Amino acid sequence: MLVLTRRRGEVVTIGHDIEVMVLEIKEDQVRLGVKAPKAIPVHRKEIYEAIKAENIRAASLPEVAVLKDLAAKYKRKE
Amino acid sequence: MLIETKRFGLLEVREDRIITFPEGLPGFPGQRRFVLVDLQEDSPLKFLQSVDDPDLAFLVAEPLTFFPGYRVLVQPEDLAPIALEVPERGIVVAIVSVPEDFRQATVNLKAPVVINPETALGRQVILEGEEYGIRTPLFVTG
Repeated sequence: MLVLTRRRGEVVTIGHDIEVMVLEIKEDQVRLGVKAPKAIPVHRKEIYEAIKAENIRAASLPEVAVLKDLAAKYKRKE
Repeated sequence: MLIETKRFGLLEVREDRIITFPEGLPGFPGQRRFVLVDLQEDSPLKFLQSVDDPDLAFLVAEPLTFFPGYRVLVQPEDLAPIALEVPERGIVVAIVSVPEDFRQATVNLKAPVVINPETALGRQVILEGEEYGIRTPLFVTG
């Protein structure tokens, strides 16, 4: 892993079109600003990992018949 | 075109109904093309079936039917990849997880799927804040 030291207001560039700026440093928190092309999604890692795990869980579905049952049997939340 | 699916057999799908996810979905980055398939007529539950992987389908729910106050608040940049300039025109569905006991079904309100019907592009967006959970119970049981 490349390790760099940066101060408030300083920037790291990644490739030609990604920039990460240190906006604010407060105790054990750092606020970062990320400039990246639209095609590159930027996420907080732990949230992204949780969404990924939930998608994988959601992809193992019961049989269609069970799901139709589900649709028919349970009331919609009011 | 005809697409092969595990759950519905061969499906005849109009090419313009194929939704492209330029980034894939988290956990499934290589899956770019999906179609929405009705579970039953007029049901708020549908399937998001992969065009290229017969095994891969998600159950999705129209969140407003189940959670009338649900709001998708995102930045314009979140919708730029699907060229959705008027957010209200987007179709929003949320992915449902169905465990063995289907009464325990949960829905991912934190990361809804937004589809631009005009461009047939889709993206799973991640909402900021703590308001919505990844595993929100779908049904009132008992």
